[in-house]
Amino acid sequence: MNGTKMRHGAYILLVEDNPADSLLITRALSNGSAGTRVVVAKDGYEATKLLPPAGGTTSVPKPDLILLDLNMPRKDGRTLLAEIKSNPSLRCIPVVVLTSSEADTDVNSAYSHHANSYFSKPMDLKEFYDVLDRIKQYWLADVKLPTQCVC
Amino acid sequence: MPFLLPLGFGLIQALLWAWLRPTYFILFFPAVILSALVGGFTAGLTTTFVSALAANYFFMPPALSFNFDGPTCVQLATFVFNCLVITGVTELLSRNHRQMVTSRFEEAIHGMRESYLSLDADGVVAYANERAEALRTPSNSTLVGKRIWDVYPQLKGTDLHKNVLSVLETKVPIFFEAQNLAKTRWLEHRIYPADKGVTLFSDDITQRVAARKALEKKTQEAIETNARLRWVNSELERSNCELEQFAHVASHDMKEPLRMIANYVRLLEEDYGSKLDENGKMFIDFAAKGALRLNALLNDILTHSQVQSSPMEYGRASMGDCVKEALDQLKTRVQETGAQVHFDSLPTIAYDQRGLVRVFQNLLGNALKFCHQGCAPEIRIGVAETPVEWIVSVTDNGIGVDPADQDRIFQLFKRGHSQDEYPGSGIGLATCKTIVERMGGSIWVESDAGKGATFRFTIPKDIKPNRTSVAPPMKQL
Repeated sequence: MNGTKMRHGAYILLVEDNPADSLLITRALSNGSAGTRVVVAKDGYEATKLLPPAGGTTSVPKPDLILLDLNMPRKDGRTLLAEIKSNPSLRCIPVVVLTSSEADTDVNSAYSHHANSYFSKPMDLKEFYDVLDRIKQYWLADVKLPTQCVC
Repeated sequence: MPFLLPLGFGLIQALLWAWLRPTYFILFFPAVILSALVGGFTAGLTTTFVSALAANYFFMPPALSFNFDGPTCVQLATFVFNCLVITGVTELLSRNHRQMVTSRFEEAIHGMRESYLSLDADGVVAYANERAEALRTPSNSTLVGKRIWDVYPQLKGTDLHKNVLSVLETKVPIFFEAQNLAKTRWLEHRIYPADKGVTLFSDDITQRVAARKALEKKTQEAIETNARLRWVNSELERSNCELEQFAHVASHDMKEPLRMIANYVRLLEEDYGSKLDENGKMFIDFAAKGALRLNALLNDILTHSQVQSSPMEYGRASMGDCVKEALDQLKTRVQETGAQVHFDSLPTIAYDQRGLVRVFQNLLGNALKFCHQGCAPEIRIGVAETPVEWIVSVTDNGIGVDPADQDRIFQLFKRGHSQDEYPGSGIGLATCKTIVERMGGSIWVESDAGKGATFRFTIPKDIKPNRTSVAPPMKQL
């Protein structure tokens, strides 16, 4: 990990239905960054429950970053992305799409719904780790994140 | 004109009489001639005698009284004689003419291919031509004078019988087709209304009907074949669609579990590698390599199916740019092998740019792969042209293609070498063939095994660009 000023105690919401990928991603994100908290939601419904509801002031914490898979049962990532980005109190949370789909339609649709970036899951484990390291470095160390959503 | 003769004769008589006097007979000649022409012999005769009396009474002196003295009688007798001659000749000629017309008509009727019957209201035959007699009666008897429904009682109740009755009633002609009584031939009957009955023409149309039936059968067969082809076509479209969907499943849904296998095999190596012996590590290595090879295969299948299903986009661009783009994507291998790639100035032509890049990528990739051990590949790209097409060649100094394999290698999954010697999916050249053929060209290889290979493909010159902008750079495969 080459990031030096990693945010301490970052909260990442990982929306991923595949436990094998959840484990890999959680391992990679927790690796070398103490205090990073990764919460896993298995689909769009679980993720919605973990996010603060629209409008009301609530004690439910907002994640610093959402990692989103697209193809999931029940409520898929596309729907969840559209909901988050149309919710004034949630839309400032960066959403990084991390999916196995390489289809242009998925990429275009994700950015049209204001996804902050889009990654295809690499086949090779090392590349997979590299991608997650770069995501972590960029979103949790390099960029400055908002403290609250202002509309 | 036979009528000119009595006319001329009359004229001469008239002149003679004008010279002899009395001139008033001249007035009566035209009346007699006309009467003879229009009304025939009797009318001519009547007019002659009326004229003679009228001339005697009104014109010959003394006027308004009959005079039968010697000279007057001679004059009258000469007039009557001349008129009789005129009338007689006229009648003779016109009868001759009528006979000629009648005999021509009969000739025509008898010579007809159709049978001809004239029936009265009761069905009695008034006239039958030779064909009708030959068709319908024993050779020693004639139909004429007999009731047709008595001669052929089987005809009663048939369409012919009903239609004859119908024409008698409605006076509207009826044409129809029917089989003969023995059901051996087809006849076309045409029934026309006549003064007191009907006229029946019957023509043998057996051959025509047979030809028509054959045509109908062929048409029906063509319709059935067409329907079958349409069905086959829709089935093909459906199966093509399913294949494309399958490729989609292969590229995404199959890659997902494959990625898990690959990742966890690596994770196993990472976390437990120290606890494994050499055999264990080798097994893990095999599994990891297998997963990577399957991934490459899935990518190639996806590319191949995309090439088959996506529309060709013809733009004008430099062929040299395509080669450069293909080489750019192969640069790692070019560097690793130390290959030399030569190409002169390549033309700017109309083609599908993505497709052409793929073709070059596959051909150059093969040239880099199939090289002699420890010998840097040397690749030459050249273009020749004929009036109708460009011929592009990619020549290498590699291991070549066995003549027995030169056709096979363009088929899907057909490989000339084992996976251990030269890894690959066996799809690349099939993809090239698909692209080249979709552009209207052909692709082949010329090679002596061991002495390098030259792959050639053609691009027709008459490709019309269907897009103006240059295609965007291709996505990394």
